[in-house]
Amino acid sequence: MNRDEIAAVRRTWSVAMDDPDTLRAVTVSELKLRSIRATTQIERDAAWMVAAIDVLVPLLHRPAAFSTGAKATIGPRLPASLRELAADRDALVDALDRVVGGLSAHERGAWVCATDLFGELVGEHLLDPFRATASMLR
Amino acid sequence: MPQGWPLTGRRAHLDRLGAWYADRSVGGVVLTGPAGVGKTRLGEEALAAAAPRPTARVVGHPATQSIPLGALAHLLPADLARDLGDGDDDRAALFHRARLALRERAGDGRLLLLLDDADQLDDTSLALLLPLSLEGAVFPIATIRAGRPLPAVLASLAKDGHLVVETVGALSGSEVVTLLHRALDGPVDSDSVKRLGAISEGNLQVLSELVRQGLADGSLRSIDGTWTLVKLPSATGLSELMSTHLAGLDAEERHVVEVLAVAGTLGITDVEALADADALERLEARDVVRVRVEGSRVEVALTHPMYGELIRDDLPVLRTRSLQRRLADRLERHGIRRREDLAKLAQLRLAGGGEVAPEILIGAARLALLGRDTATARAMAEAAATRGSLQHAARVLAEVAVMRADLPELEELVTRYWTAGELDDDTRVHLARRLSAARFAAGDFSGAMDIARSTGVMVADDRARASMVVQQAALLANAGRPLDALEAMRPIDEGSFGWTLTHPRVRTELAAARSIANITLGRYDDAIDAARAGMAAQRELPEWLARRGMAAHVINEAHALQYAGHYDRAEELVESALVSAEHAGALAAQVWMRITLGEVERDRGRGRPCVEHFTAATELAVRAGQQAALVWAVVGIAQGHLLCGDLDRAEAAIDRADTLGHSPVATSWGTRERTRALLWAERGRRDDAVELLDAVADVARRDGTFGFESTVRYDLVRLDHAPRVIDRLTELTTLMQSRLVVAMQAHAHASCDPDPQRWGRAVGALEATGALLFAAECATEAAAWFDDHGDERAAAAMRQRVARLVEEAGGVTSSRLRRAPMAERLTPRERQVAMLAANGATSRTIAERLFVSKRTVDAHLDRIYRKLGVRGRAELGSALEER
Repeated sequence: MNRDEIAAVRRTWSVAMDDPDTLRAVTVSELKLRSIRATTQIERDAAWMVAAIDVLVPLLHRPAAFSTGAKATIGPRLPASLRELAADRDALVDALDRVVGGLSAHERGAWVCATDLFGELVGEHLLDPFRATASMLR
Repeated sequence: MPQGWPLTGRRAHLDRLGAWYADRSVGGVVLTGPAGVGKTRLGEEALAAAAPRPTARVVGHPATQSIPLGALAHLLPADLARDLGDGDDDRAALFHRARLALRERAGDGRLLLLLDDADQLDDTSLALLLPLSLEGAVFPIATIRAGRPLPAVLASLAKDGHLVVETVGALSGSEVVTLLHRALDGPVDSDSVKRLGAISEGNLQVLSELVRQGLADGSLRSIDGTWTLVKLPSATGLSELMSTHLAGLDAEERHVVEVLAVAGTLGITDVEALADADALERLEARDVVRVRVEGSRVEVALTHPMYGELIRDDLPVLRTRSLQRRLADRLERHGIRRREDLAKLAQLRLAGGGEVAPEILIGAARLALLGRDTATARAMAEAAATRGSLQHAARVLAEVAVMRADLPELEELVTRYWTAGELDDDTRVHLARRLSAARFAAGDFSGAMDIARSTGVMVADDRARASMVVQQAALLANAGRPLDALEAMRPIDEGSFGWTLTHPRVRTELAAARSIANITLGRYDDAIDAARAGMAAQRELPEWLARRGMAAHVINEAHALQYAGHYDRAEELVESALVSAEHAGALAAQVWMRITLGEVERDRGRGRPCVEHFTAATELAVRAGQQAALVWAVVGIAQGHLLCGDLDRAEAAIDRADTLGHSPVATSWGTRERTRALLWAERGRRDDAVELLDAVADVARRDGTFGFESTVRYDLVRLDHAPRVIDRLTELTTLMQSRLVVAMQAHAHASCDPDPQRWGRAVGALEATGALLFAAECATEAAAWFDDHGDERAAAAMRQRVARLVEEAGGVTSSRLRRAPMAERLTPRERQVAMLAANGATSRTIAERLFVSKRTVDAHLDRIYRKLGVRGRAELGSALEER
């Protein structure tokens, strides 16, 4: 990502977060369109997404810093699948589009780059391809 | 992907690896892709993601490729190869111990095992992993560079669909953006990303080298918080970039890299003893070497195999030899803890020069043999022979020739050592047994007997002589000379060899030969007793040997049951043993088990499953290199097609068997000729068929292969020649222990001197054995006789029985069955009436229920009785049940 893209992400996020309740509600409705998760889980995941992105956006200039607070950010989210994370990403970008009154092509491109990065950062902690967490719990 | 860089763009691959690991039908994965694309990193991430599940890694390297167990040794107990010789038994012992050790690591789950650079793993390690992967104890993730050949073991698993092949490609443009953003920990100028992406073509190692160089020479720098490439790099290809990187090393760093390039992975204390510790630290910081903690051991290796390849390509021969000598010295002084280390030492000494004791070479050669690495085994053994270790070298070289199925090489070897005249009795016997077996397998029965006989005379030791006698008995039994085989065993039975008979190994071999001889003679009860005695003796052997030899006894017992007409028991026995053989990857056992199952179905008269089993047997026989079994199985296919009435395919299979040549196995020739005769009979050449069957039966009688003779004589009964064979069949019932031959004789008796009871007994006896085709043919003959004698009812009942038997046999056919009138089928209305009547309804009740007149019902019932061959309502129930 270049500086312009980071700036576009920060600017649009700031606008959206003027009314975080609306952002969460719209994210829930977007998630419902593309997810088979239970309604209660959708609401919980939407709230988590908004909170997590709020932590991540300021770190775009130094993404390595995320690792120090990763555990607190990931917090209550259960292990996810790749499909779920992809749905999260699309839902979030479309929710932002609705909340800020339409993202420009440049802004949308910047968000795609940012969510790619976020996906990699949280994926390390959220994905459990070998069900290792499940095996530990068992 | 460079070790220090965050994993990016590979989550989908990891996700698939996890899904395959959870899927028990997938045995493992091969990751393939160009150099530098990040296969190893992906594999390592999989191990990390799987923790705390059991994981381990092994790395292939040219330095350890010809060292048996070179790759896998660190995962196995240090005493794994203790006390091992060079035979198949030792191989079984090694595999058994290794399997236990790796199973223990796997615990309740599957050991996730990264096989890095799998094309450079040693054959022994790969051979050990094959059965473990098949039985699901180990889930390998093998990495291999695109364009390099997959090792044969992995290729065959991939071909069978047991391993999934996953291609790891270059990163996409957006993945390069994300990776650079993360690796440089800040925004990157768009043009710079585009350039780096284009030059690297998404290759991670190239990207890493470009960034490293850019940072080092300042061409990649942070300008106002944005990383920017201010100058294009001069080198762009991976090997060029890596060479540039290596060119920047100082002399001490270069020395460390050279040691690792020659040695592969080394313990840190070895590296520090051979090179400068500070240089090692600098190299780790430069990402040229990686230090990893593996259990209690700290290991050092180059971060990318291409560094090693570039260094080795440049290294002068004398410098390489000098490094090998120093490594050998170091190993000799401090490192030898296990037999695999001795093998490594031998390799380094042979390559680098210097003295090496012949026992070390023989130890290495044996270990190589255990992994079927014949090239290494031969090189080591020949080196040992020139250093005076003649006996051991001769044994190893004989095993090499056997493994390579190279009879001329084995003949030449035996001639060479025989004339040298320095062999002891044990070695002489070992070589003689190998040569005898190889000659027999090649169809040279008399040559096989010659070497066994002449060696038996030549050696003085009791056990050596006994071993040669057992060998002769086994050859005779397998060649279809059972009486001679039993006669050959007599001296051992009578105690001529003293204590020898108490040895369980001698007893298992003897029991196997005795069982085969008795099967051939048709003395099936005795054969079963001998097979079980063989199993009992087998169990007295050490566990790994006990498992290995059991299959032969199981097959013998199953054959005895089958030929005696106990098909269900034979099938049950073999099916459960087949599961174990498949798990153990025991190909030869699987071949003969499939053949037995095919024969069971053949004798039942079920053509289709018969063809399926024999087809599977041919494929296994080809893989196992079992020519004799291949001939047998191809003839079996012909027999299956005959049962299905597919004469063209049957003829094609016989033609194929003809091209495969002669098999020394008992009755192999007779079985093929019998099949040819049956084909001729089906094609209408009955006289030719009878003539050929007569000849085959006479040969069988001459050889004492009574079981087979009875089958062929019975074929003549089936072709309406019962009077000519009744006396001999009656005689065979007294010589043999078989309910099947009793049933066959009953059929012949009924044909020669027919009456209703005899026909009933004959059909019933054949059906009771499960020989459905024979029972159906006998019932057809009986139906015709009843017709001729005006007993339409009995004839109809027999025809219904034929129809049921044919259906049970899956639609079996033969010329006799085709010629006979078919049983008349009930119409749907008749079946409705019959069912109601059988359930006790009166004609009036049935008429009311079906809205027809009572007269119509009675007319239906008359036709039903005639068609089914029953006298009245009382017999309807059982007749309908039969249908």
